[in-house]
Amino acid sequence: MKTLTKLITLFFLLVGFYSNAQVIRSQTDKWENDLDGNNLTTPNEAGTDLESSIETTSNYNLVDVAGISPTTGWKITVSKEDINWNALLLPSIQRTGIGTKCAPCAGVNIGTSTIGYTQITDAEQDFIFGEGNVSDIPLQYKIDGISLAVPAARYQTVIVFTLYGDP
Amino acid sequence: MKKKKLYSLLLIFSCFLALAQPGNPTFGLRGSTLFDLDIRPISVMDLEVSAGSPNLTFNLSASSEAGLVFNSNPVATSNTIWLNYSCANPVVGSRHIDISISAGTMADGFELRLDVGTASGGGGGTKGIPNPSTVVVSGVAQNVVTGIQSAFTGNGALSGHQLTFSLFYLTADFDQISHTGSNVITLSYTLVDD
Repeated sequence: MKTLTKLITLFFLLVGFYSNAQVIRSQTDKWENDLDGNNLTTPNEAGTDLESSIETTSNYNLVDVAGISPTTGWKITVSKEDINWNALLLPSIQRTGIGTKCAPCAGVNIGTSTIGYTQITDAEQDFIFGEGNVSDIPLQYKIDGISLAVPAARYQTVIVFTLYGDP
Repeated sequence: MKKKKLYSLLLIFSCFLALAQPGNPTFGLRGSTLFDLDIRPISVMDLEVSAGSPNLTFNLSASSEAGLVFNSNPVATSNTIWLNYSCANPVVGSRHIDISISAGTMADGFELRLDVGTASGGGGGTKGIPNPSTVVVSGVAQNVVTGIQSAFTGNGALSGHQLTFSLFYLTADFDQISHTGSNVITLSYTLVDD
């Protein structure tokens, strides 16, 4: 009986430590933009507005999902947590590739993962679905609604990726 | 007995670890990117006309009829110039625009008056409010538009504030109007932080 208890404990310890090592990592922690007269629709031309959109390169950020067993499904949701933001500014995100999956993994499931830009809101939205470890999932960001109608200030919001298992 | 307790505790702990894997909302499994958008000070202003330059020329010709004044007041008017601006300033609450004569002097016996129109419907943000009074331009800077916040007027003639200049002679006493030839003055517009 004692041995059985020991074995059960050891099993759960191993499973626990193994399965609790999941991690989601955002490789780029900041997207910084300073807007001035050069960002007017005609640079430094009086009367014109700021360019309404700014966009990153298609692989500005790379996200890794690690510590997942090859057959375990997962999903990533996206949301934002405002530090100082204006409702006229509309951040959005899109996945531009599938990254690199582990050898026996299904990786990013394209069929059920969002294609095209998703507007990021305060509420979590399903963003990427996948299975097993995947690294370097490329992400592109965009902000629409930029205008001089938005009072000049420094605006900051944190884009949050949350990993859930077995979606 | 002590060993038994230890195993029990370890068992509970390991079960907790095993169950704390993804499957339900998983605390701590978060990554993030900070979006940092800084709209910095922008101060650009210009004068726009439909064609040509924003230089005004007022020609006064002698009356063809002896005994008459050469023109009734105003002797000349122009409303072809439009004032455009794009403004942003995270530090000051608002800005205003001054006008003054920066070079030359008005011909004796004349004055130049300016009326500023409300910003046209284009553009956006909090555009400025025109001085409701007629401004007699002089070497002293005078407010012509106030309360400009983050705003843009639209670009080109017919956008922004229409400027109407009128040249008046000050007296019917013609011996006070002694100027001959051309008289050139330069007006300067200045966008000022409040």
